Amino acid sequence: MRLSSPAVRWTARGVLLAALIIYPFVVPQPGFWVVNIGIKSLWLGVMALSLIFLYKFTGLLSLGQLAFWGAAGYTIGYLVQLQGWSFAPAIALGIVFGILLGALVGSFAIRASGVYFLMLTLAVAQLMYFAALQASQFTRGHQGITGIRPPTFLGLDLVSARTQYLVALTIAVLLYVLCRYIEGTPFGLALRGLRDSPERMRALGYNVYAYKVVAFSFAAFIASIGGVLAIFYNRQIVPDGVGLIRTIDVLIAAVVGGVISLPGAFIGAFALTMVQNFSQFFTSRYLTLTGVVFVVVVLFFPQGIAGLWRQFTGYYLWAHDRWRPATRDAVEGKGVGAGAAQLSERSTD
Amino acid sequence: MTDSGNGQAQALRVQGLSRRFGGIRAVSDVDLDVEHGDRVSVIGPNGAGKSTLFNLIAGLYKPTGGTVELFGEDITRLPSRKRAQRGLTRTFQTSKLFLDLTVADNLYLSLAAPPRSVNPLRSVLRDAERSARVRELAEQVGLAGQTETPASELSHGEQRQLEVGMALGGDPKLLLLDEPAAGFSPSERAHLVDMLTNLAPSITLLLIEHDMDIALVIGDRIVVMHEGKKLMEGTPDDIRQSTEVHEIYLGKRHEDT
Ligand SMILES: Nc1ncnc2c1ncn2[C@@H]1O[C@H](COP(=O)(O)OP(=O)(O)O)[C@@H](O)[C@H]1O
Ligand SMILES: [Mg+2]
Repeated sequence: MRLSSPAVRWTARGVLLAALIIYPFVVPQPGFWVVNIGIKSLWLGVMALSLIFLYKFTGLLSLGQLAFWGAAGYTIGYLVQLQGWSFAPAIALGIVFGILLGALVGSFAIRASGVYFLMLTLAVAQLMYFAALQASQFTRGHQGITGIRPPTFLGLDLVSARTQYLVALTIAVLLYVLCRYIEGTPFGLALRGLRDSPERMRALGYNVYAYKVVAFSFAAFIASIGGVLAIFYNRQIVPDGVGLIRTIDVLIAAVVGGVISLPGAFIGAFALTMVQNFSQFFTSRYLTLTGVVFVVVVLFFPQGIAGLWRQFTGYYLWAHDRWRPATRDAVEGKGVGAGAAQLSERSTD
Repeated sequence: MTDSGNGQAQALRVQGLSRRFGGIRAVSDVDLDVEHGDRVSVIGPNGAGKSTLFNLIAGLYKPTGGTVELFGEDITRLPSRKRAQRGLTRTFQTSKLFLDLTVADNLYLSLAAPPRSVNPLRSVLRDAERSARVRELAEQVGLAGQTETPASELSHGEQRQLEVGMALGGDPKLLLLDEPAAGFSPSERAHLVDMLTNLAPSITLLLIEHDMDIALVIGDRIVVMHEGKKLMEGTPDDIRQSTEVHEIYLGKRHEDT
């Protein structure tokens, strides 16, 4: 049976999902493996998913996704902790606020492209950081909003590590499936179209600007949900949560995982979380280490971890063709040409 | 309002249209009237301003002077997408395809564009009606066997065929084709001529084509451009007999080849 046949893929997905569900029940030290590794990877993965969704479908690389994470998080923290609201309406409002902020930021940021878009969105994340510091009547400034106790929803007590993990897993899976579904809708096709050729999209009659704003708002929606999950995980929201280093974490998770691969979001988030937690055993220079990992991935594995298989099969076909020129004709155009072309194409966009 | 006698406005009316790029007058003071259902070929040597004229009509470039009317409406200030929504579709001289998408998805996007109301969140696979139309279009432009091939893996000629398919998918009332046969093999050319000959009579066609066999066969009327200006306009026979055209265009082409 071929490795890529649907039956094999569905089985692999089922096994992976089962393993992820069993995970919190079998690992030792749940405080570490379930919370610090499991839940952290899931919410960071949701953040990376928000970045990757936007990049894969529109070609826009955003450094601002944490701004929407923070918008949702601070709204919830403020309403629950300082205003005494219950969680359900606070969460709903937090997500709505994140989306609206996304629509607002998107409506001007997407007029820029390439590195200007990158800088603009980075500026938005930094603005959120300074707002968190300055607007202390809402955010409690430096100290942040602390001591948030995760609620019980529909009988699910989010204080329990396992329950919280399973809820985070469910939400992450739903968001992933939603992104996958969108890929095959007219909306998703249109986004991929405008990424390839905005002029053609306009010539067909599409409003490229509106599509990009909607895509940006949708990515902000994903990021806001990441903010909700993170507030259960952190039990607080502080300015450093939306600071520069966290902003870069999201980018690194996305790039290490594979910036055009939706599952890459979670793979990258898991890898980064592992590095963050284990690097302390052999170095105190955690930032330097992540920086090095990032550079190595960008230089040598442009498709990230999720793209390794494809990258190495590409090399294999190339080498195969090289060393056995007699078979050149047998390996049809798809082998070397398409494989190598695909690699270089991916790495430049 | 422009009136062509039968109570209907002209399909296209271009008046005094000009566009400069720095010091170059790419299009300079061009007038053009096209009636419903007309088949007009635009010819002229490289750099004559043919593509720029198309880009001005389609809204990719803003003119530095003059007006464009589509079906009696002044569209000079409308963006490309609004022109497309009024029934103006086009191909580009250098293919602009969605290279990551399959042939079917490229065609689907041309069918699902506004003003058609398509549920943006219903899976494409469930859209049986448009999927059938996609197959029809693929057949019409000679890509029936390749609907699941990514556009990036098509040959040059196939990419040009897909360009035409996408322009047809937009339900054109006015169709602009910019050198659709460039790089075609003789059989692909024959197929194109066949397809253009059988185009619905209601579609108004503007065709830029270097190949005289195609331009003079498809066009009922020929517009000759030279250095940004409209040099002459006439029937295919007028053009064949014009010494001026032979000098600036045909003659030059024969030297080239
Ligand atoms: N986007 C552009 N920027 C600068 N100059 C252009 C542009 N498009 C066309 N031109 C110039 O305008 C002239 C006409 O070009 P074009 O319309 O492409 O001619 P044709 O299609 O008849 O070969 C050429 O001199 C070309 O260099
Ligand atoms: Mg041209």
